[in-house]
Amino acid sequence: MVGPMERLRLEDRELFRFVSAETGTNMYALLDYEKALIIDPHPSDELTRLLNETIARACTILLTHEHADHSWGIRSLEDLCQTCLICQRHCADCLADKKNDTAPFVRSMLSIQDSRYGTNRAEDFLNHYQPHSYKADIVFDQEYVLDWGQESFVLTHTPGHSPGSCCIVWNKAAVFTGDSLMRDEAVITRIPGGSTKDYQSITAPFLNSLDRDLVALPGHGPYFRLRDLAS
Amino acid sequence: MDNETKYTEAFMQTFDIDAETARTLEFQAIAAWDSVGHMGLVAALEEAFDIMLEPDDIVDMSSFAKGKELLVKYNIKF
Repeated sequence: MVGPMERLRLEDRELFRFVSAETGTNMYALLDYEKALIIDPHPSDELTRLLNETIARACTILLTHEHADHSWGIRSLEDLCQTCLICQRHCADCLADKKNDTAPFVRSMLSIQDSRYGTNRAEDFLNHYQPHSYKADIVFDQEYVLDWGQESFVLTHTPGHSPGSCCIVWNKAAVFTGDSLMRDEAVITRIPGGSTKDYQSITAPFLNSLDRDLVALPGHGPYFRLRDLAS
Repeated sequence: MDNETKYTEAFMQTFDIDAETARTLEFQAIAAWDSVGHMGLVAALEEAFDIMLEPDDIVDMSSFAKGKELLVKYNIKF
């Protein structure tokens, strides 16, 4: 699977963004000598090439949530290098059992989009997707702080779109928001496992507490500064 | 539980409606049955009948009645 790759410059760091051709999901990657940090992996020939070029041997994987379009690249990373998977507890519980596979929901969503836009993403996704179960290496409940080389990540549980959703603040300069906040799309909470109540009572206040100068790196669509969104 | 009841309950629980409303329901006839609600309905039906709907059938499921016609393809008898 090949999708576009974009290099982003945030402060003095280079971040790679990959957009899945099948699902439109954003995957982000940071490289540091022989190690990589990947957020919301999807299968990507370009990422594989990049990891091989940089001889990355260890890969830390962070998930913003458990939905299949944000996690279906874990297996290919496990095949490539030593991995450490970090996610919120509900996310981990979902991924631990194939019976919780959220791919059918992703497929439904893609089918509806296909009917609107004349694309064929649902079938492309189905052709490439294989269900797996994963055991997270580090699981957190409310918050987890990861020091990764010179980088600092603070993962905070932000339920609503899904039970295991989290937002990840990076170096107090950017925040990976998954599907909990996007520029051009409304956050969906009226789905199995979603909770409008949790989103309004927990996630929205958290997002509103963030520095408005932070760059938001969402799960779908372009990045933006928080101040560019109405609260 | 027979298939008719299972099918009707999927609509009732997804959209928080009664059986009578469900039986004449069409896509977008109520606010809850929008694209997002539709995904929830598909998930409920797939779980209730242990099936995986084809993408075309997901899109074609435009009403309670139409949905029953489509499910016949999956050996669901009403």
